[in-house]
Amino acid sequence: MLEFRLALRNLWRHKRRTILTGVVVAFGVLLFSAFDSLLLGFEEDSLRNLVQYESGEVSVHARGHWEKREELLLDRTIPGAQQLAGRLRRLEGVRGVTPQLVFNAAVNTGAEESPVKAIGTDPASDETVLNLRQAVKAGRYLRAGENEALLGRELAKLMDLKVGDTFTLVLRTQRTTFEALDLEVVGLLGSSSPAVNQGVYLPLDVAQEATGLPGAATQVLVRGEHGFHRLGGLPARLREETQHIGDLEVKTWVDWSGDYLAHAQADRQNMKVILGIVGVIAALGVVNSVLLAGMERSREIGTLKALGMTERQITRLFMLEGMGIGLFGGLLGVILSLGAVAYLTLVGIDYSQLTTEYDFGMAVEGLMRGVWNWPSIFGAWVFGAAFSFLVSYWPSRRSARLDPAVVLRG
Amino acid sequence: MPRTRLHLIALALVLALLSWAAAAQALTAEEILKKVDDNEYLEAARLKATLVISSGGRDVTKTFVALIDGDRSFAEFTNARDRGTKYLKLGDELWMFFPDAEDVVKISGHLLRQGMMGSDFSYEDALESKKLTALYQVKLAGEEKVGDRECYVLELTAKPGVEVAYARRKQWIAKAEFVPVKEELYAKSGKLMKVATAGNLRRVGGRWFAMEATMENRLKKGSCTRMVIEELELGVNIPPQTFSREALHR
Amino acid sequence: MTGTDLVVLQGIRKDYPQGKLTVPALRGIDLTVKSGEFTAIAGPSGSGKTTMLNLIGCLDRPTAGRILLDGQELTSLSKNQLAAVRRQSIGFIFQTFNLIPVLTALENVELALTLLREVPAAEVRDRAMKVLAEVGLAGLEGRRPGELSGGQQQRVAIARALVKEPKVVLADEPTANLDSENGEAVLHLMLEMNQTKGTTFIFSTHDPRVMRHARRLVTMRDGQIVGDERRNGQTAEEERYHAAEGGGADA
Repeated sequence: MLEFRLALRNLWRHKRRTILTGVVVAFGVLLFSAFDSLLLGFEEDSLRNLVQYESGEVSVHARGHWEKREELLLDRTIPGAQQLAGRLRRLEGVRGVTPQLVFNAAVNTGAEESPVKAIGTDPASDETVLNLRQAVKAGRYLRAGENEALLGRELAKLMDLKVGDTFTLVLRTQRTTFEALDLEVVGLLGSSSPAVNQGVYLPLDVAQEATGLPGAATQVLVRGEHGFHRLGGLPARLREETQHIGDLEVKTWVDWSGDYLAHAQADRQNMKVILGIVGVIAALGVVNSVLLAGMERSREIGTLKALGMTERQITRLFMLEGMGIGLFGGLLGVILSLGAVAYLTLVGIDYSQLTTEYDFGMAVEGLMRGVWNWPSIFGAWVFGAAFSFLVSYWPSRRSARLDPAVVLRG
Repeated sequence: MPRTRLHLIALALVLALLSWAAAAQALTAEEILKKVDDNEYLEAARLKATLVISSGGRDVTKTFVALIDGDRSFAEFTNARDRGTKYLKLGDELWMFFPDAEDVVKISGHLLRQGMMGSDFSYEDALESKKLTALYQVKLAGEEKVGDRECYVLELTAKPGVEVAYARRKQWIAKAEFVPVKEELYAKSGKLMKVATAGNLRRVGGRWFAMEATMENRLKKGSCTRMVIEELELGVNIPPQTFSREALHR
Repeated sequence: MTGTDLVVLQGIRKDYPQGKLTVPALRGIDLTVKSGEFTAIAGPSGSGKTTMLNLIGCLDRPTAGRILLDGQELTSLSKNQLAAVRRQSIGFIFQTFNLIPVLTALENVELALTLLREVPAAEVRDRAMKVLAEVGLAGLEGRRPGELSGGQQQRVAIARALVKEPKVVLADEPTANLDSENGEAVLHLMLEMNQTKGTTFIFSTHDPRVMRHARRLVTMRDGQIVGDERRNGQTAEEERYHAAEGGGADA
């Protein structure tokens, strides 16, 4: 108790130094909180994009298709997709089901040809699962049975195509036979998902006909009623239902998000490096502060020793002061973080100039938003205090070891 | 016998003879392809050729030497850029050797569909005629002139369930030489994808051979590849180890 | 007034390194102080008196020789053990007062007791208050050193030194920073404590007034003891003092 009192009063006595050092610690806490908020926001955003534009919340695939899904092969498909969709719609907790046929193709304008991922989507049911309709930025959405397509705006820009133009979609049927479809661009898609911005969407029945797979789908996407964070027993119910039907596998958005999360991990690592540097700077500040305090109070240290205080006790005394700086700086940092995270959450950072150049590998549009992560903010505070406490060990001990005789002489 | 009756019988005989001759002359589509195939089949041959790949206004020239024996062939590129790149074909299997990586890669699956060495000729495009009869239903659709050559027109439609690149092919076979001088390759929807033309027919060792061939990509304007065979020798002595994977590394 | 041998120095030598040279501060000291003494150590600056006090106070170690405090050999003790001795048995009074600036007068005095874990908090407070009253600072307990005069600060220091009822109080030129009036007052205070509680006082000084009050005067020069005077009679001051108190302990 006495030690706490002494530490506190000494910190108060040297307000300016305490504040200055505290500010450095505060900065570290602020930086951490801001980054953490942004990264989490990033993650959330991209997961939301994944679920709303690509994967749905739960998906059904022909067995064996999932492992090689990157190759977009047509050798393992689900036959009778609409019937399956109908069955799954009747399950409890299902809000929407839509079949899709995804395959490799190339967009050919006569002058240029570019490989793409082509998605045959069912205009009658896709809006119950995905937000593709909201992504239409020009023109209109697809109509079943028509030889038409939607292009992602980046792809359209690349191929110099606009609404009303016609292009040839070159693909291979299930039997590897070339197919060349003339399709009219009826709409352009734009969203925060690079997959949408770079893709070609055509009506499912046209895709099925072109690939020689009538009625088939490569994936059947399902959306639940309570949002993708609360799937509950939905995957299990789907698994049970599809077990009776045939060789099918059920995956959730979590399975899809593998790559996305890997990127998030990488970003977190980068953040740790930045924070490491900030941490070193803060540490230097605290060490400096404590050292100075020790030097200034060398006489006092001598007196304390004369009174019979051990070096250990004196060390602890100064370490408490160091921790005090951390606590104060941390608190300041928390207050600043509140403001910063509030800004990030409500306003966000606009970096739309960057996105088309970089594909971050995660699905995000030009606005980065933060999220509130209280445990992180307060955790940073606690960490800041603990870190300051530990870091002050060396300067405290150094001060405590002062030879009292030297210090008290005259 | 009255004179008119004699004339009628003679006429009938002549007509019969003519029609028999005609009938004897009329080849079936399969027979035509068989003859084409005979011309294509090379034994102990060595050829030297140039490839000119035109795309987007730019031309790239490559040269190669190939040894061919039946359904085995070995080709090595000799132009500066691609020197050391080698292909080995044994039956239906194809391997490629990359000199920079010192790596042999088996070409299969979708790689077979790509243009070889960046050209418009893909392995699939150059299917041998005897394979065509297995995969396609062949119909003789008449005769047409290509340039000033009389040609048989063959319509090939993919048999149901087979895996072929082109749903439909149309071939013009020179009647005198039994060499395809033009071919159109169609996608499933009927859209014309590629057009091949061949010229400079030469007689080599008892059979006819087209010394020049051009493949035009109809989906990409200005994109075509021209191959010119500069030398063709038959009955060449090919060392026994030529058609082996080890030969690729040498 | 005299009792057992409280402080014994035998053949004490202390050298200090000064750059490449070694400077001898004490060159062979032998001294015995008995309990209850009021002993002054006089000498010019540099004579080694502060050094000797530091050694007795366990703030430093001799280069050679032995020191015994109440029979306990100090020279073989560890740092922490020496700290314990200071905690329990030694009170310090410094020329520059050396109060903890962020603590109040009361807290400064309490500090000395708080370090002795055995004393419960309530008792600490009581004793501190009492001693502060004894040194004449009742009512000023809540003031910080910055709010006290020099004389008052030194009284706090004295209170701090005495509150734990130490075996010996070591004072290093306690009046050097005080004006004559305060200096006198402080001295009388120390005398009184010595008389009433029997606390042994050893202090260094070059102030003749202080020397006059001492019952024993040890003179030092160049690291050696050159004089050791005992005055058995009371000084004039002491007589006056005792008269005012109406009798007291034996001289």
